[in-house]
Amino acid sequence: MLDQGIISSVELTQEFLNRSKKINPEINSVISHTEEHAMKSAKEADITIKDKKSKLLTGIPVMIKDNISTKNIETTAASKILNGYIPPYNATVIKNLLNDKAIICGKTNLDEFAMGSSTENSSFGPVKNPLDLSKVPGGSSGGSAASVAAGQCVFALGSDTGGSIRQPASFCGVIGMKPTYGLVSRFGLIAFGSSLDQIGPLSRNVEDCARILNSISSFDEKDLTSLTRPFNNFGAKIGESIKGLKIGIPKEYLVEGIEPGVRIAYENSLKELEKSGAILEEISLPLSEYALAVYYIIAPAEASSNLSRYDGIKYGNSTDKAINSIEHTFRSRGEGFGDEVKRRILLGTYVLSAGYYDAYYLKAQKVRTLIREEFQKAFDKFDAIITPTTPNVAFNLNEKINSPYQMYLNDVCTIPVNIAGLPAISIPNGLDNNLPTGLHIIGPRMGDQTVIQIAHHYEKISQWKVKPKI
Amino acid sequence: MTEINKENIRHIARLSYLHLNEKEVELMQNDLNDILDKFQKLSKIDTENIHPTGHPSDVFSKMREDQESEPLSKEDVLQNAPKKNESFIIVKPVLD
Repeated sequence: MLDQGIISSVELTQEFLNRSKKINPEINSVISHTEEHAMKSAKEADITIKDKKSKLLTGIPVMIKDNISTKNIETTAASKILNGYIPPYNATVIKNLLNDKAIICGKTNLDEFAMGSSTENSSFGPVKNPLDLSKVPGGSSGGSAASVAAGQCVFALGSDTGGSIRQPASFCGVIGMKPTYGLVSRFGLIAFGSSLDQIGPLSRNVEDCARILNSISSFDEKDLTSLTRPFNNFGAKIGESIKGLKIGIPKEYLVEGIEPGVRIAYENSLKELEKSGAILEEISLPLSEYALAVYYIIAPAEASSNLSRYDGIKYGNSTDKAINSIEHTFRSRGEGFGDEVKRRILLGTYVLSAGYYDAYYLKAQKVRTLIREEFQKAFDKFDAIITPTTPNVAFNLNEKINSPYQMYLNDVCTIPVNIAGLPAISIPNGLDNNLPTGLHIIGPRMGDQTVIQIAHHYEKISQWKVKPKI
Repeated sequence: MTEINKENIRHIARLSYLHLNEKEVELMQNDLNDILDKFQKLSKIDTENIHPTGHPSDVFSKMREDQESEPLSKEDVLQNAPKKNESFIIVKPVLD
């Protein structure tokens, strides 16, 4: 539409910003709108479009999770400790989006430092699910998922450490993908669990996911775990038949306590894929049962190290209640971090401490190797593995906030994917009491194109769409 | 595994430079015990001769040429510091 001149980027961006600012007080998905920056970018994008030099994302309004550094635009990770922090540089993904002249319209709300599954752990207050304002949007990329679902942007970026793109995508009825670990640079992503974190897209359709990944994925010298993708176009297999593709159905992912509506939607989806010619076969991944424990040892351990940089000295919250430097750091951190962040720093420090390192951290790393190997062996036989995204649909605000372990159980299907560094997507596949359920398609390492191929096919045959309440 | 007591929590908090009030110490003690209890099952898995995974990227130390390049400017580095003068970040006294 932009290329055809039906609407200009300036008009499109203004429309989205107007809608976003109007509805934001109801859902609290956006921490800050970047109107001035957006309108300036939109004017430049229109010139690029007129000169016929546009790329696919040129002129398209996007929201960015507020743990991704944007130069000269406040970036808070939804934490008091980064109040007022203005990054002096762009994350590589932002550099890539700006090169393609996408329009950054705002920074979205998240669980503090991406630690959470409901976006209730934010110092800016919780985000509400646009499909039902009494429910959570999921987390930690709840703001990004909600902003896409509510029409505040065309697409958003989120980050995924244990499911933080896919789970909120499922809860909000949008699409969310985590690429193979290493394909999207983490430079400029405020680090949480460095061996698990990946940035990825949230969008309203699968094809957009592929386009966004094509833009943001690049080899980056500044990220030591960065890889060059062995293919050019994430969406190259879109439209190819899925007939003959072998899909593994792991019985361990139909966990105890899975909601009946989620299970029914999942089983119906499998039948649809089988009708299209995919070959489904049950497999067993017994080690996936241990992935939650492995994650909640490794991620907090890495977080305790990554968050040690927040000392109240170089940036962020600085207490006025201390008389010496050590007390100053203690109190700045104590005042600046929320409960869940403190919980994870303490857990991480404990499992790394003398006397406990071998029993917890080293053990978890070894079990991680076994989980990776188990997936590798499964992918020798299968093209993809499909599970429900989460065992439940969006739950009530305040329902799980006082039970950390109950909250962690939300991610039991998504976490193994981060442990093994695999690509995975969540796509809407049904409704359970009017709330969306999600289908979770996992691919082998570098199998992102196949994941997108299957997701796109399913999207075409199922056409699940849910309208927001606002 | 040993159950974590309040003194353990205070010790870990000291290690991680985190100031906790007494109410937080008690909350964290309960939460950590609850969480760690669920992780005991990892000890059931045989990991003899298994190498630990640091990250799933299969990329190891990559070295680059030691080349001079433009660093962040002094202004950029200092712009977020809560207390500063024109060249330095100001901190509280380190020694009594």
